[in-house]
Amino acid sequence: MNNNKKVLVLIVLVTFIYLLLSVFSNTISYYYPNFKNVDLLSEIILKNKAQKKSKLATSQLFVSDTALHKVFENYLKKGTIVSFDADTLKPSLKKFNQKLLQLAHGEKVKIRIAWFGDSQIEGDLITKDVRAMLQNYFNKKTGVGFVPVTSIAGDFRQTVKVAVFGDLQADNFKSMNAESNLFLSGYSYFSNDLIVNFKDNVAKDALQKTQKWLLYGKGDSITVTKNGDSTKYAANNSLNKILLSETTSNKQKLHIYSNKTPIYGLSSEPDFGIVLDNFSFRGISGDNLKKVSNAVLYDTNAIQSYDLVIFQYGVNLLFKPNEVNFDYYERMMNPVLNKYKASLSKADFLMFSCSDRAFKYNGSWETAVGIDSLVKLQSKLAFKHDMAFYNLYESIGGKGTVVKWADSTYQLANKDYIHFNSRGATKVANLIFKALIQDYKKTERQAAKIIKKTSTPNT
Amino acid sequence: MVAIDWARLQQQFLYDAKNPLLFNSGFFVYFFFFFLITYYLFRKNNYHRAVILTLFSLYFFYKASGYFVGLVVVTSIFNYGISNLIYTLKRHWLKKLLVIFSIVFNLGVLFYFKYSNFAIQLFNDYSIYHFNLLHLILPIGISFYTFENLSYTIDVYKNEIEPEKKIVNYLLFLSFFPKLVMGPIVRAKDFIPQLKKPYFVSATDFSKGFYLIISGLIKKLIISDYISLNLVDYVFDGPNLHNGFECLIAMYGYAVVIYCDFSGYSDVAIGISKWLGITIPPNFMSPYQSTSISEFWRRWHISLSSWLRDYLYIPLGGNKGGKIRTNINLFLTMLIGGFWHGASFNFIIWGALHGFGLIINKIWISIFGNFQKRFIPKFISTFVFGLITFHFVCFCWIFFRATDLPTAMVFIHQIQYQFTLDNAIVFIENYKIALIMIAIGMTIHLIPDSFADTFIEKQKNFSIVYFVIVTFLFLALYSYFKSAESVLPIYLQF
Repeated sequence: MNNNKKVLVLIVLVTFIYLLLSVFSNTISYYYPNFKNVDLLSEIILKNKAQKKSKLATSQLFVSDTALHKVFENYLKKGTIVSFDADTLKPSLKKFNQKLLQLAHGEKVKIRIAWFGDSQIEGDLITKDVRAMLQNYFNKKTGVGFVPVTSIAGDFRQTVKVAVFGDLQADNFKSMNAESNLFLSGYSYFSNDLIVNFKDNVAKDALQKTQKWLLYGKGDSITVTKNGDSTKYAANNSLNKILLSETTSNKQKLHIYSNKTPIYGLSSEPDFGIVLDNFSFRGISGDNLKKVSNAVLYDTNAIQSYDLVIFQYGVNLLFKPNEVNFDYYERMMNPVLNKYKASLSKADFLMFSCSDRAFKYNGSWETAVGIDSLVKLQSKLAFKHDMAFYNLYESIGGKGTVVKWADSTYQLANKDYIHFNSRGATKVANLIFKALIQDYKKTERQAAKIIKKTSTPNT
Repeated sequence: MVAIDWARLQQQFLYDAKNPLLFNSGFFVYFFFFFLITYYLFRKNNYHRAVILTLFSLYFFYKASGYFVGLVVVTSIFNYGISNLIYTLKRHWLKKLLVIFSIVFNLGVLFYFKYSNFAIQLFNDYSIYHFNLLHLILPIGISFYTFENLSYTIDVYKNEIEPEKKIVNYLLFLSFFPKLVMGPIVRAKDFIPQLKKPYFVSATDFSKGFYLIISGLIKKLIISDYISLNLVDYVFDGPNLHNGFECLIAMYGYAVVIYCDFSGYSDVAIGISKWLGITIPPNFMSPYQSTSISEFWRRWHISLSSWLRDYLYIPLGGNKGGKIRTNINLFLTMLIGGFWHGASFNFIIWGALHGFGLIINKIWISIFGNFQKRFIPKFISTFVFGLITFHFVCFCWIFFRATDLPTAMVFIHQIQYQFTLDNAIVFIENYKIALIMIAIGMTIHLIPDSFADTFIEKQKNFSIVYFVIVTFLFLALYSYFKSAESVLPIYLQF
């Protein structure tokens, strides 16, 4: 028997019932909301404009402006580092720029940047490009900066290779013990017997000498063997540094015996110039930084003071698609910022807003509805703590950027609609570098004016 | 009551690059409804039926890829004309010249759209000159209908078939909408004769068509899409953000994704064809049950592997030139087969790995084949070699799925050096639904074919009400997963 009629009957029946259900979509969706997603008529019926308005209402900003100075609105500026000063010709990073100016004028100063962040900068993404651009722009002396003994992304980091052999106990922000004595990286390591093979992969002039330092914390002592010689070092401070070598080689081998002394990592840096330390820790929003002790911070300020401290967090706060209130984050970060500002007293501070992050709303990926609210809150934190601010979200393109970057043929972001891929990270680094140089140029112009004034004879 | 937006309704009939027509598009329901009524009305005249099917297929093609529909028409006219000419010519050298011209033309079109930028990029990388990349969009289905055109012209040249007299039938062979986007690759000698038979659907055909359509849609739209969006994409886009355990699970996940996606689409195409009275042979037969790579290629994308065998491997000499020559032929066939999948080194590596796999497989059988049969119990060899084959195939999928070679290398590196079960519980908790989907996808392989056959036989006696209910149950399930909130990437949570 031929069943071709049965095919027709089935299709006609299914289509009619389906259309009928779609006509009563609103009623059905009341009992089964998912039906909206397969409503046959949704593409051809007039849309209810009131629905659109209600969505906009959910993205209204929560932070009140009343208590803030009017130039607070400067935070909306894209591509510029702002200090909320009405005079936008003034630089935002005064101390940092001054040291850059000294370097540019041939003084042998070391300028140190601490860049705190989450998985956005893991594996030295963004920071490796900014570091390279800054080092190239100023005195062309390179070095990867601080590197923890191991890290979750250590193996894929292109700028450095650290191979360790031996027993290693690692503590970090998530698993810290009372005596962990974590460093700024959020890690500390203990080992009776540890062999470290370190290789700085940052391209450098063959004749440039690189200093290789070992950083460790407070404990009983530490014994280091290199080139066959063993030396025992005291571990009295919460941060101690040993210069392991200063050679043209980019490699360092050493053997460490350290029972009760936390080992932090190695640093490869030029004798003078720019040193940019990447302190990434996956999944955090900055509040974990409070776990670094005051003693470590004060000793850091004394032994290897930072000139610029950058905080780049935020996307991990956006874990609920419809969250628009981040007031709790302000309460979490206030003590952290107070602590760091007080202890790293020689540094300028710069806060980045979060970058773009998307969720699936009604079946399509769109920028998180709470992102404007979060950016405003982050700028409020910067304003309140007298820190400079860089609106990363607006600078990369604002709403819809990460969706565009992830979905384009020339992909710049991952399909998680959060992270930049290496191409995207380089693009972002370019934007940040331009903003830093733009701010530096303001100092340079001010200096030029002063020089001009002083060199002009009085009339 | 609903009010129709007439402007939007008009737009629905036009090609929209952001929403190309697929089986799961809302528009497809209307399309199929009107098509089937018309097709049924003209069922008694084979020629009219073919014209209707061709017109609807071309419209489907337009809705799926815009004005590239013109390319199908042009290539079909070209191949129709040249094959008739080849057939009528008496001189062999002239026939040969024309078939070579046809091969060059068809491959030239494919190369222009698919491989131009790859070639320019290679040239730019290895020379001091620089050419700008072309702004090309890959026409949907071009890889499939190019192979169909080639097989047709070559078959006519080899006198294996007579050329089709009616151009409509040839155009329909190329543009037949169920197989448009992802195949299977059909042969004219199998397809065109069916257009000349009455429109007949047996009870088993009806039942099997329904089974294939529903199960294919579940595989494609529910299992594959869910795992892909909620686990695999996250890991493959940023393997550096995941440890070895997570990468390994994503690798297994992708094995299920690609199988369910590809075989699901093929099943829907075969199922719809059954309902239209046209039989297309199966394209997948539980490929992960294979106990060797050569068996895998007899079960995976069968229409492609048989095409490569008949039109590449055998013309290269097949197994007639000794062992070394056979192995070279095998390797070249797989290498070209890999490149057919996409213009990147990853696909070339993927093809090369399978080529090596087939060679090693052959060498193993020639050395240990008899020993294996005699001394190793079948259930042990099935299990061990099945496991090895599956993992080899999975390893190769890494290259197939990764965006580029460095990403694939990072992925493998993570599995090799960053394997840890720390946070495994958090990972499992976070991705539990995706993991269940992976398990379901794997289980599908274990269902014996006899089970499906028995079920199809029983189902054919069911009333039409049953089929309507099952269709809406599927719709409810699809709408549920379509609206399911995306699972957040794991690295946001610890």
